[in-house]
Amino acid sequence: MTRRDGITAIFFFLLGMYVAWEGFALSLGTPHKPGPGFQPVVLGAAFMGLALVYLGMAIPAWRTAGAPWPFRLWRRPLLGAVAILGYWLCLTILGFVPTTLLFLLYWLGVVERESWRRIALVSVGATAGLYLAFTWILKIRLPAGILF
Amino acid sequence: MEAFQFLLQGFALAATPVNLLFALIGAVLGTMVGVLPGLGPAATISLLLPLTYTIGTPLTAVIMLAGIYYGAMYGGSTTSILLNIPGEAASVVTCIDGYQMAKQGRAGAALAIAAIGSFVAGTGGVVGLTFLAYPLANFALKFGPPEYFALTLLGLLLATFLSSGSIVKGLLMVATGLWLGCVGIDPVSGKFRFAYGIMQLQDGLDFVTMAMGLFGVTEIFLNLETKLTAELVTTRVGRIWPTATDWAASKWAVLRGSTIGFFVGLLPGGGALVASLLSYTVEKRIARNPERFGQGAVEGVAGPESANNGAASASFIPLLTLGIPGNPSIAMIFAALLIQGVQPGPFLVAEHPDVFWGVIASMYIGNVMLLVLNLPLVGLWVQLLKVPYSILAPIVVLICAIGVYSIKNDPAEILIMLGFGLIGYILRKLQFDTGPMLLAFILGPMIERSLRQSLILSGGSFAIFAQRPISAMLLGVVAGLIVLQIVLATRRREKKA
Repeated sequence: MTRRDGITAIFFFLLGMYVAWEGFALSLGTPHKPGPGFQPVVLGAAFMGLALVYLGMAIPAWRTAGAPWPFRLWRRPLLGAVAILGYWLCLTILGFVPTTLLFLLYWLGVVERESWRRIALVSVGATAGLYLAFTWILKIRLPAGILF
Repeated sequence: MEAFQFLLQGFALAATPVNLLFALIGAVLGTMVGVLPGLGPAATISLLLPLTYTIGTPLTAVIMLAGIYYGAMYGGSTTSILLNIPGEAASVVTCIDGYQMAKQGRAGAALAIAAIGSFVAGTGGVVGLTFLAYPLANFALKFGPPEYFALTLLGLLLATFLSSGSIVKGLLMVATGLWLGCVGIDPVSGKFRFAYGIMQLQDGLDFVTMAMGLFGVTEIFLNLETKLTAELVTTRVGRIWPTATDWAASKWAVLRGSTIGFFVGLLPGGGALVASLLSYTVEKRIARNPERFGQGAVEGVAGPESANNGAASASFIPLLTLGIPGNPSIAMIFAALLIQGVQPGPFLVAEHPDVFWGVIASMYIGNVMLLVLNLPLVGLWVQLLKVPYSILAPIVVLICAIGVYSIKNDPAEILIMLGFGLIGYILRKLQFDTGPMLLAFILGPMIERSLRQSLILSGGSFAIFAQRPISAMLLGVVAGLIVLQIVLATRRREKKA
């Protein structure tokens, strides 16, 4: 247990409060006919109870900082997340083929720092392979993009 | 005898060319993901879930997905033995002695024992499934809403208690999954819950999107933290037939591992990892020379590899008979059946006997296919280990992205998948196991429905759960488990003090 666990426990407690509050707003109903808010209220109470137990376990270790999580460790996952975000943004505008090609160029060049030769070969080959697999074999309708 | 006749009919269905082809595709894909580190069976099944929309029949879809699941159990040992990296979680313990055997030039024997043990346990598990599933499904027909509520609650608790890490964290994950299961329209009142006027949330969160985010994308993010590089001990596997000494040492370990795997696999949460860990502990404890373990003891490969396959086969029993998925991979197969309009559970055998018996029969065929794929073709799988993960990762992400897009032809699903990928990454960094969250998400609507139906049936009295013998017994087990966990936690704390 570390300080991080304590902060996570507080987060879950607040989440529980929110879920229960939303449940009350949805109507709890009666035991004879439980309403749509019945399960959220029960879950909210469960969140809060469990979060308190978790917090109780974490408080003695509040001064323990836990294993370091430096930027160099989450730098590449962050770059990967940016790539997926970009893919979502561009897919409907540019269409499947240009977006997939750009995604692979970015991932292999920026995230993985591969050689230019490998970047070019894999990006073009994988884009073509995926296009054929999705459209011919799986018959998925891929976005063509507003430019086409 | 009745089961045997139904099984023969199942074989007739499973042996059609299309189903045989999909069983082979599943077995090959499963072995591939088992061999390749960083991509587990749950992630792969989630990758292929959108494909099940386009596959013609539920039987064909489940045959392929089941092949991936138990194929991964077979393939996982290859990487453990040759690279000292588990291809999937259940092969962690195989690294200990399998890698040592490979270093001593006995890689072939280790791979062969792993494959044969997997075959014996996998087939034994399917035999158990054949003869246990039918009577169990018939028994479960007596279940009403109170029994289902108690059973799903017990399943979720067991899955939490047997999952890795802290129980409080596991229970928080269950609560999160149940909450996410509430998102969307309430089936009784028609009111929207936690949808905030967002169209994509009004239908509820999609299981496939959530699974791909939590398992596919999260796994990629975690692997991006470090460069996955490892040296192959050898690319020449050499003689694959084990020696007489290896046989003598491993035959009982295979049988013990198969039995342990089968019984652990029956329990929700008691997946292949728990079974293989338990089997290794048993083998080491009963060995005449336990000091050999960790130095290349063949029993250390035979037992756990048999156990993880036995568990994989047995975990289909609660799914097919009770409609309770015991682990994330089985939850994906549960979702695949739902996608095809088939509700897993006690009515499955009566309403869809083709699916029930066809899947069981295909598992016999799949195990034979896997033995053939894993023994003579082991050299081919070794070559696969040369594909750099840096190339594999973006392709997996693209398959995930297009997979979720294709569900509703909506790019917003990619954003939701990314959201779950990031949530899963943060949770895993905080040492939360996201498996119970996914199980709770899929069982959440069943729990809520059965609880509300029970209360309506009883006129609002919670006593209904105590008045019906099966639900009372199941809730008694739930209470017993909670008390046991509290006692164990108190003892652990006293020991620490």
